[in-house]
Amino acid sequence: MEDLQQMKTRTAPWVGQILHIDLSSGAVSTLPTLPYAEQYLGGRGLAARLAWDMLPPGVKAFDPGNVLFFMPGCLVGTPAPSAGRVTICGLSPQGYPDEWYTRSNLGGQWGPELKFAGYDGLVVTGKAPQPVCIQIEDDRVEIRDAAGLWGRGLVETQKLLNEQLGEGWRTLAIGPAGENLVRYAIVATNTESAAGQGGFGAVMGSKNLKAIAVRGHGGVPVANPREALRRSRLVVERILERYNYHPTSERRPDVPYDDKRRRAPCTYQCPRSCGGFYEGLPGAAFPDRTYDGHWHCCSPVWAGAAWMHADKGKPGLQGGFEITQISNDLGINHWEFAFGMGPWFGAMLDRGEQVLLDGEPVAMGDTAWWIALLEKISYRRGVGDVLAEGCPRAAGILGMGEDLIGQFYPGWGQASHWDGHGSFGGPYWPFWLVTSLQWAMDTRDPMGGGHDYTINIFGPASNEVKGGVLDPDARRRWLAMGEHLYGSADAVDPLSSYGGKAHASIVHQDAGGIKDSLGLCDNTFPMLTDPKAEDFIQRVDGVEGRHFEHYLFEPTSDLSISREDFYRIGTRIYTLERMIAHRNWNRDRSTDETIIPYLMRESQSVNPAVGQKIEVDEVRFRAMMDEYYGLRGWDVQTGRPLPETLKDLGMDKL
Amino acid sequence: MPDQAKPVRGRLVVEPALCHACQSCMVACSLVHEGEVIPSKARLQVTIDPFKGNHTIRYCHQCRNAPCARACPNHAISQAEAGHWQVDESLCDGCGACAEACPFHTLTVIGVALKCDTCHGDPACVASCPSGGLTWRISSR
Repeated sequence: MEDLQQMKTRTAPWVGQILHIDLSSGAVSTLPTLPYAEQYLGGRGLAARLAWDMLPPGVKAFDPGNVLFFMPGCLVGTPAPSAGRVTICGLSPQGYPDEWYTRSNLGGQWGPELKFAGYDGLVVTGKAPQPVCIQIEDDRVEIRDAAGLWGRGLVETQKLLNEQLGEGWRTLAIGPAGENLVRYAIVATNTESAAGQGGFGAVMGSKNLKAIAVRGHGGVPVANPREALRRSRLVVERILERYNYHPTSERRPDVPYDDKRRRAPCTYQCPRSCGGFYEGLPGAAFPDRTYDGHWHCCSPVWAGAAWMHADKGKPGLQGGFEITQISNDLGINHWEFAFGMGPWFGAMLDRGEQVLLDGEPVAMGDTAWWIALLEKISYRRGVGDVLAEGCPRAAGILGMGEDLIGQFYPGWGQASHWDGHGSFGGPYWPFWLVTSLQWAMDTRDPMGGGHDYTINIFGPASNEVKGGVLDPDARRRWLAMGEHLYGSADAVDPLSSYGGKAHASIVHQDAGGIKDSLGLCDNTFPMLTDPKAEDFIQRVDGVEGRHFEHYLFEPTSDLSISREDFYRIGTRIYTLERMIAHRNWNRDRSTDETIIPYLMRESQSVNPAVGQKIEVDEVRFRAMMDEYYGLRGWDVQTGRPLPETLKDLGMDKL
Repeated sequence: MPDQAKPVRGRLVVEPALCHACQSCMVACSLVHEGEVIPSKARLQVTIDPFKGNHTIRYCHQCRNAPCARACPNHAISQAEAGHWQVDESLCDGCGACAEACPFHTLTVIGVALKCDTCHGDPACVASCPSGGLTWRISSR
C-alpha cells in the first residue's frame, strides 16, 4: 500500500487521490485527482470523466466489468452549506431499454468521512468471489468477508457494522433487494438517505459487495478558511430565510405522533433539516414492533393515495411509516412503488380489470399486503421475481397493463417526476415544458440534480408571487427577472408557451452538473430567485444567487477558476455524459423523441391563468428540441455533440 | 497549580432541542484551529446516532476551577486574560491527564491536548451554528 502515501498531493479542497478497489483481484490502488479537477471538479463530473475511460461499449450492468463510482463532490468536507452529498454512478440495471450509464445521489456523513480518510472518490471494479464488505480507515483498506452480513437488512447491516467497528464509522449498505439483483435496489446510508434511482444497490449485489464502512482522521484543506466560513455563513442566512426550517418550530400537538418527530438534516453541514426523524412509532401490520427512521420528501405517499383504491381505509401515517422503514431495510426504491407500480395497478383497477398477483387480488390500502409484496420482490419469490425487473419490463413479461406503462413512465425505466404528467405531475403548463425537455435528453429521471427550475421559477410563480404575476407591476418585474436570468421573459412567464424553455432546460441541466460535482443539495441549489426581493433575484454580499456555487467554491480552492470557466464545467459534464450515451448505446435524437407520446397525454394540473389542461403539440415540441440541439451545439438531426462544440469545451482530445 | 480562578467572561451555551446535529460547529472549530477541516480534532464533538436520530454534544464548559488545569503535571493549561482556560502547546507533552480529569469528557489528546479556547471570546462554532443551538453568553461567573 505504499502508493497510497506517495501520490498524496493536496490542492484545496481536494485531498488528492481517488481510491480504486478491484474486487476480482483484491488489488487496492490510487489515482491522482488533480489532473481532472480543473475540468470536472469532483462528484458527478469526475465520475463521468473516469467512466469515459473505464466503461467501454458492450458492458452490461451486472457484468464484473461494470464500474461503480462513489464520488463526494469536491466541496464535501468544506464549510459550504449542505456539502455532504455523494454521487454514485455506473451502468444502471434500471435503465430501459438500455442498462446505460447514469447517476444517483445520497447524503448522510459517508461522503465527508471518505474525504477525511484521504480520498476524493472511490472506484470499485470487478466482482468478489464471495460476499465482502470494504473497510477503509485512512490508509488501511481491507476487503473483509461479509458472510455474516449477507442476507441482513440494509439498516441492520449498518447497525452491526457500527457495533463491530465503534463510534464514528460511516456506512453504506445494500439490503436483500440488492443481493437479489432487484433492478431498483438502493444503496443507502443511515436509515433513509439513499441513491434510490438507478438500481446501484443491485450492482453492488452483483459484485458481492454488501457494505462500505469508512473512518477518516485526516482533514480537508481549505485555501482561505476565514473567508470560506464567512461566505458559508452568509449563504446559510439566505437559505434559512428562504426555506425557514427549524428543528422544533413545526412540531404540532394536533398531528398524530408529532411528539415523536424531530427535525434532522439528511446530510452533513446542512442548515435546513427538511426531513423529520421519528423515533418509536408503533407498527400497523405489526403493532408489537416500533420503528425509527427519517421520513423525507415523498416517502409519506404510502400513507394514502387515490390510486390505492382503498375503500376500507389506507395505511395512514403509522402504516405508511412502517412500510417505508421495511422497504428501506429491504433496500428497495420507494419511487417505483409510489409513482410507478401503485398507480399502474390503480389504473388497471380504474378500467375494471382484476389485478391478480399470484392469484390474489391487490389490496393497496392494506399495510400488511404491501409488506408482503415488498418481501416477495426483494427475495424474488413468485410474481415478485418478475416485478423485481421494474414495471416497464414486468408488464411485457406478465402480459398485464402494457398499454398503461407509457402513462406513468416517461422513459428510461423510471416513473414520472415533475414533468406535468403521470402520477407525479408537479408543475403546471407551461413550466413542465422545461422539465419535460430535461427528461427527453437525460438517462434517468432528471430531478436528481434537476429540481431547481421548478423550485426557483414555478414555485414562486404559483405561490408567493401567484397573484402578482398578473399584477402589472409585479408582472413587469417578474418578466424582467426572466430576461436577466435566461435572456427571455418567456422562460418564466406563466402565460407563455414553448418560447424560452429550451434555454432554461440547458441552464438547469448544467447547474445540475455543477451542484452534483460540488456535492451540494439539489433541493437548495442553485438559489436563483428570492420572492421577497424587488427584482426577485437572490443575492448575498453583492453576488447573485446564480453564482453562489462559485462564490462558495472560490475561497476553498487553491485553483483559481474564473466564474465563466467554472459554470462551463456544468456544460462539459452534461456533454460528456451525452458522449458516453452516444458512444456506448448509440443515443441519438430518435431515442430522445421516444418521450413525446407520453407528453401528448393529458397533463395533470391546470395553470389557473390559462384555465384548462394543455397537452404537448408534437410539432412544436420537436421544434423546441431543434432549438435545444442548436443551443447546445449538437447536431440537430442526430443529437450528437458537434466536433466544434467538443473543441470549444476542450473535449476534442477525448 | 493554577492561580485563583478569574471570572470567565463568556461561555458556550448549548440548547440541545435547537441543535439538529449538522456539525457545522465542528467544521468551523477545526478549520480555525487546525487550518483544515478535521472534525476529529474539533474542540467540541457532536456525536450522531443515525439510527435513533439522536445526538450528543460534548463541549468545554470553561469550569471555574478547571480540573483539567489542576490535573496537568506541566502547568500547560492556564487561564487567559479573557477568562478562558487554554493550552500552551509548548508545555504539553500529550500525557492525557487533563482528558482524564475533564468531567464533561470534552478534552481529547491527539499529540497535544485539544481544548476549547473560545476562540478568545469570539467562538467560530457559535458564528457557524445555523439553528441557535449554540450561543455565546457573556457571564460574570
